[in-house]
Amino acid sequence: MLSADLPEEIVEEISMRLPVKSLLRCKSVAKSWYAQITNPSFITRQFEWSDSITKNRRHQLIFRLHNASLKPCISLISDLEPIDIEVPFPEKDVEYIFVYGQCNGIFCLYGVYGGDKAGEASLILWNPGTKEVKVLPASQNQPRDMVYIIYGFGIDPITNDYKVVRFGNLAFEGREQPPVEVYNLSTGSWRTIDSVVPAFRLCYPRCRAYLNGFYHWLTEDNNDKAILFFDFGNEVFGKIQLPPEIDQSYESNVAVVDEKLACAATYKMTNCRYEIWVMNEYGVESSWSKKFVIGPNPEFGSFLGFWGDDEILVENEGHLVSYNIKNQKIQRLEIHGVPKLFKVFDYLESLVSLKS
Amino acid sequence: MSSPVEQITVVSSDGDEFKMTVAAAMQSEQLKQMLTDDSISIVKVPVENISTEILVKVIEYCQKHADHEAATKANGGGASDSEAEELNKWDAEFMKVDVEDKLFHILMAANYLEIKGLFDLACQTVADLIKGKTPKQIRKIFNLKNDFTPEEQERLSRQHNCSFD
Repeated sequence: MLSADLPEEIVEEISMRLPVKSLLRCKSVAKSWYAQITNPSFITRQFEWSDSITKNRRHQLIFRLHNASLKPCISLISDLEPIDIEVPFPEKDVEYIFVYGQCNGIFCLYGVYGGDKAGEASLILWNPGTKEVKVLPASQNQPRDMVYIIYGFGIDPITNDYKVVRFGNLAFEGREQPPVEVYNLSTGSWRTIDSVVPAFRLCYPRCRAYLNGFYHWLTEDNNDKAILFFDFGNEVFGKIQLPPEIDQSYESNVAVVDEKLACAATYKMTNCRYEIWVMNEYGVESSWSKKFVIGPNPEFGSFLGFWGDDEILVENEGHLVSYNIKNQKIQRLEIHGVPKLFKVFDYLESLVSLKS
Repeated sequence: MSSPVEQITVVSSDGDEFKMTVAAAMQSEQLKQMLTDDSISIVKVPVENISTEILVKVIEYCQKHADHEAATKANGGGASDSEAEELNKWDAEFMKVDVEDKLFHILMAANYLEIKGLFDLACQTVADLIKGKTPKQIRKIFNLKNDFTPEEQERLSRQHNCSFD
């Protein structure tokens, strides 16, 4: 038993090193501890500390997307047994999930209901660490037809507010374009913004990447592929050209590696080979450089993303496979159930609160 | 200019004197500042809030880590994985104290003397001690009172699905 009181700064240094699960329990120890643990600057410090020590081996949260016969499922993959997590939507009968991103331990999910609530949907923010869920209000402006609506989730780096952007997919001409809207967690409401979305057609709905306040989608316009981005700080759209050397007839993906925007081109022949290009200076198209050439290998299929800076995750005929670029070790990862359509997220638990 | 110092003497709050090599003393930012400041001529450094029992431990840590650094330099650079692991094992053994209170005093001493490695190690050890414990057990370790009112406890339990026991 401690014979004298520890100074607050030292208690903070100790708390910072605790996992989210323990910290939630520590809230009940005493009022001073409750105050410290719920303090936003402590929450940020704890997350940054956690981030710095897990750099290359975070959990991956795998979302098994919709499939006619299987319910949506989320699995947490780490070095241990995968853990299945219950889908936290307000209504029970969820038929499809769309995942619009993950920031600082918060996910943005869209769930479409079946059964009694067929035709309805919910957009939520979810912190799996604290189990907090926030259901976003429906917007007045948007048509209910979610096929044409695109969402992106991120943080405004200036205000540190979590935002969701919502806009229309111009692929379907002749429809009146809905206005672009942004939701702020701080206000709990949507507002229309005066931004023009450059012409685009979404290439691969699964393919998105978030980096430092910018959300990226792979798009094409007249057969020319490019990266569409939304800047959460300035609330404007823009485009980034792909490296000219990439053969656009093959599938490409946007990803993030080593805190840089990356483009992964999948060359499918007898076996798949990947070429990973990295944008060394964000926004500067001349700074694209080829960082990795991986494969060919019979285990390679669709490129899913990076796991830390040394491993990639790919999907191959229903299996989730990890490949270590440094030591070439290939591993099939255990996922419960029958995997087919995956979406992976580099996930780190946080205490971030969803209160407006 | 004073002649190069090879050892310094530190004095515990109990009045006991201990010699430390300069290399070991340099593990402490506080002592390092004094040693590198030519305007100060060091004879004895009193560390008023560190008892003999704790000071002995602290010096042991500093010497071990100073020796490790010197060995690494002699080998021309980075420590090998096995050497790093050996040091980690030593650190883990070192932190096994019989009384929790000792752990906190080492932590405070490391903070006071600004010995980063020992401070991080001690913080992590205390954190590991807390993991998996109930609030009641944690209160006992830190000598804290449950200062929530029954209403507050009720409200928190409902909100966060947490227990106060």
